[in-house]
Amino acid sequence: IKSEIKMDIDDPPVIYGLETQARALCSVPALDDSQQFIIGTQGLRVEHNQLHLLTFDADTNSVSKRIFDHGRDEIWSVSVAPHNPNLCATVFNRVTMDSGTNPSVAKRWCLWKLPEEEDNQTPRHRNSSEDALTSSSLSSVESLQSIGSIELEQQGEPRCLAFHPERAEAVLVSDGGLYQLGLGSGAVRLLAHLPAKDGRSQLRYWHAAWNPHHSAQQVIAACDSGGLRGFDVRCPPSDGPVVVIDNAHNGQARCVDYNPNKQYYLASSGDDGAIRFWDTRQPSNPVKMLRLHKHWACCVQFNPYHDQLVLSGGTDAKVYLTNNRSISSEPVLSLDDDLDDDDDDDDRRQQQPELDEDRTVSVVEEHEDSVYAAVWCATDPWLFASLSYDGRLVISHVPKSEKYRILL
Amino acid sequence: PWTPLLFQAEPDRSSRNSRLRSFYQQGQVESDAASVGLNVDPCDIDGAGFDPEVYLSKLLQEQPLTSLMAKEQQMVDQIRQLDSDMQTLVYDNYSKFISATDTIRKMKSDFHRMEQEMNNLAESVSAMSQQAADVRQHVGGKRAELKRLAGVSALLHKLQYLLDLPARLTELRREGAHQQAIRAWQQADRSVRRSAELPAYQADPRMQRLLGDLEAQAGSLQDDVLQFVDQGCNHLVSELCILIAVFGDIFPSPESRAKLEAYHESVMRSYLAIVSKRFCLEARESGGTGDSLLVRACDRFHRKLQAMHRLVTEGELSVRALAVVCDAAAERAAAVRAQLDLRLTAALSGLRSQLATAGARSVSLPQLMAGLLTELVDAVKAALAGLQAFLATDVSFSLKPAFRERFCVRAVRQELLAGFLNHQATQCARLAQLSPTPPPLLLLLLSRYCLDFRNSSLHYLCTLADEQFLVPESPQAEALVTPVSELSAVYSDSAAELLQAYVCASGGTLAGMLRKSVDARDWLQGIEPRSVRAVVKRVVEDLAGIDASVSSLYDEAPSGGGGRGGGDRSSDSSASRLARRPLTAASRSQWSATPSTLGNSLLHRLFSDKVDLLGPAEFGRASVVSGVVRLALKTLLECVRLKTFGRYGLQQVQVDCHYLHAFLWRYVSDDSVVHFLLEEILASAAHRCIDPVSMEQSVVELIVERD
Repeated sequence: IKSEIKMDIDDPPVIYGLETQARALCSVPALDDSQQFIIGTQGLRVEHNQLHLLTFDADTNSVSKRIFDHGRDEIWSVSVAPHNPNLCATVFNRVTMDSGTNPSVAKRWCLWKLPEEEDNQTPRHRNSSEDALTSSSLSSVESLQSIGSIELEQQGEPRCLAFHPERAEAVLVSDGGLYQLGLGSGAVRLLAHLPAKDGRSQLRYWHAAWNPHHSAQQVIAACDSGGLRGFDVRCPPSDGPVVVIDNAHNGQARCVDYNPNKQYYLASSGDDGAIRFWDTRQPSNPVKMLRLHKHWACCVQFNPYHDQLVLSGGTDAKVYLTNNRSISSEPVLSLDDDLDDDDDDDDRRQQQPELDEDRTVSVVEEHEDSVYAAVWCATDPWLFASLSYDGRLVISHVPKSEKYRILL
Repeated sequence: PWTPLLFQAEPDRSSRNSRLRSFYQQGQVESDAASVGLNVDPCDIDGAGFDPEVYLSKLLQEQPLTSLMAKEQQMVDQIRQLDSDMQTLVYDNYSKFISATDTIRKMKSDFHRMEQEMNNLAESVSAMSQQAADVRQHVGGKRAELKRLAGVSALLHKLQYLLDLPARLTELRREGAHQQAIRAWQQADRSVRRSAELPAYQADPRMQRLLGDLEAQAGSLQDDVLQFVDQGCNHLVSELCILIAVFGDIFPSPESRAKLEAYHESVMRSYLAIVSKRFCLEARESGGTGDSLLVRACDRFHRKLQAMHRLVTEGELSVRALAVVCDAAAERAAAVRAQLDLRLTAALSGLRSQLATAGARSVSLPQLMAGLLTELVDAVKAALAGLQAFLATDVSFSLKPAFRERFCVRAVRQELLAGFLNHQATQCARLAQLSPTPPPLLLLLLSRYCLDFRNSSLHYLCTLADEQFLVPESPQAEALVTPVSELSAVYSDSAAELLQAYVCASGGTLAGMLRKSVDARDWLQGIEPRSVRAVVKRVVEDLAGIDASVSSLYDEAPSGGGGRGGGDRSSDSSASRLARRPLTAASRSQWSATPSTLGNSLLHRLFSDKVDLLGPAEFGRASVVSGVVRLALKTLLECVRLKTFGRYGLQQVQVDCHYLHAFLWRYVSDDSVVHFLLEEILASAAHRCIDPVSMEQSVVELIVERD
């Protein structure tokens, strides 16, 4: 059976093109388990920036889309609430021309409600990879419903918004620090403000992630100094960080993600191009380091189901899918190995020594410009998407050989 | 009191004396009786209770006058008689008394003399006891020994008897004295049967003691290793030899032979283990001068055991002795290797601190590198030379194939030399992975060092070792040794990794400067650019420094890769690299500091090959420096994309890019990549500009010209 499976040819990646530059990409945890991604355009001088909600159809290997109007505001970041796929947040740039010639630009953020799909009125427009570049004008554009945003003290430039994995909460990452927001009962309110201070020196946070373990009471942020700071939201902000990892990266730390299956473990990426894996109980040294990217490593994410699979994208236009089995929650020996004799076990390992080795599984070569975002599909562990600055979204599969190696 | 019997009987001296004696005894009894009031007669003139008054009145009342008269007469006679008796007695006794006094006086003087003699005697006795104590003290420790010796002597006598027995039996039989022969045999048979039950031989305790002594010595370096070997060989091994020889003569039967072998085997095993321990200790602990001593000790040991091997052919003693020697030699090689490792660590940390304290320009990198190369190559050569003592022609084991394979091939050639060379390369490469990164210059220097070591010293050292240690060119030997080509690959990899780390580190420094400057500036507001930003000039200056450092170590073209890229530049002196690009018509037409539109950029990508912007650096100045440049420019590009620009912000970027274009060309191997990146920067800035009006090309050139 195995040999037949190996003979299977991997599905080719699906490419979807935008006409403007883009940085914002997020996976949508659709309720019907369809494979959805949402991307936002970044056009500074464009009349209509858009959010594209893309649904991947595995049978035809194609995507269908819904488009939402985001106005003149160029989108820098988009995120979708894990508990509500219709609730999304964007961080955007708004240019205002005040009386005369002096323009001003301000970063803002807003929560949106995606309108319910009306099946009969707007049939999903299917487009395969061939006509991707030209098709967006054909579909109708829906409008977003603003839920709200609040002005925060010393907010500075917002960077992104991280929804809480369980509760109706979120944390806004901005120059001024982390703002814990309550989103329940139809209104946004500030729960706590964790200022971006490190003793006397001012930090700037770039990205943040919730710790999914222990009912998600901790959030960790990546700083421009290259460090990581973790906070427990149950503690008063004056207590300061509970996790301090200094010099996680040489240069700015760009992204951080918790291992969904193994508590205390997290991954970070940064301007030194390295992906480092940390155990928050031993913050002095990384558990593991990957040096794959030749320039900034912009994003890193664990597969939500099989945490040995790690996705990372960088400004060298590469997306790496790596298997880091040695530090994953996956046991070193599978169950039937334990039952076997030692000799048998050794034999097996000799036969397939690559089984247990950490390795690069695949590289997405389809991008030609910097990749700022790469995410796993929230509903399918074998699907991921990456977005490069030139507006190209690539939806790729985990190679089948790897998939069966993990499953079998 | 006088007894009346004295008067009644014949006065006789002897009887008187006897009476006196009996009187005294009786008197004793009577006085006892009187005290209890028995037989008291006051009228008994000789009695104890005689009362003169009562006696007189009784006489006066009972006797007539005549008898009184007679009585009186009789009494007067008796008194007279008594007086004379008394006188006689007194005289008699007096003379005796005199003589007694004389005797006593004489005795007195005699005793005096005797006392003196007794004193003398006491003195002599105490002196004797003193001497006896002394003797005991002297002899005391050896008493057990003496006793044992006496026992041994007795035993030997018995043994002698047993040994002589066969000869004697033969003799007796020849003489026909069968009776005597049988008696002798029976006598011997008994004792032999008794000792047949003993598990070990009488010599065993001694052997054990010798082994114990040796083991105690083996744990420390206090004694000379030669002395140690001598002691072991002369005592233990010699005795064992004698034992074997004698035993073999006496007990030729196969069973006893097997017993002997087992015993011999156990002793030798312990002995070999002890010697091996001591040799290994010597090999590990003795400093650089230990080689010759250890070699001599090994040699002596090996010779002795070889000699023994001739005696005892079983048990492959010779092979095992050689194994001990091999272990010791291999241990020595390992110790030398450890010293080399320490030397390397010290050299690297010394270099690091030297580079950290001295400024980049005040040290000569090639000189430092050459110094490091010489130091380490010399250290390796010295280590190899030291170990050659094991191969001297007068050393008994130096020609054994097993020793050659174990020591020359495995221990020295592979574990010491190949191991150290491999360790050195990986140790250097490890620095490239350190975080925080070590000084970039160290990375650069070590990368060149690895390369030079590969090119010049690697082959040399391996060949040298092959020659010095006569490593055979057999397939077996080759299978044991890491091939030079593999080591060479390791060095190449390390050099490449270090070089890449250098590019990352120094490019990262420039990139950091650019990133901070872009982040800190408000690109939206601001005035029309009048000059190139200071940070951009600074980057160009630093690049000149980097270029100087790199070109001091690396040639223009990639070594071995053939002349790729500007062959004409290699003739330039490094000073001329600071010159700006000659503004020829050709170069101007090639590139203008005007942002192309996005469409153009896409078009450009469509028609140009995918440029590997950040490919690995090759071993050449141009490749390294252009790697640094590309890294810096790529970072500038990414930073620009994170900002929003006003009109003048864009124009400032234009000016900066033009300045960079004018100065960077000399540092890069492939101008087109710099073109591409600068174009991308401009395009991105234009794209991120809310009012994209670019500056006149001539104005840009004027500003750059002025700076």
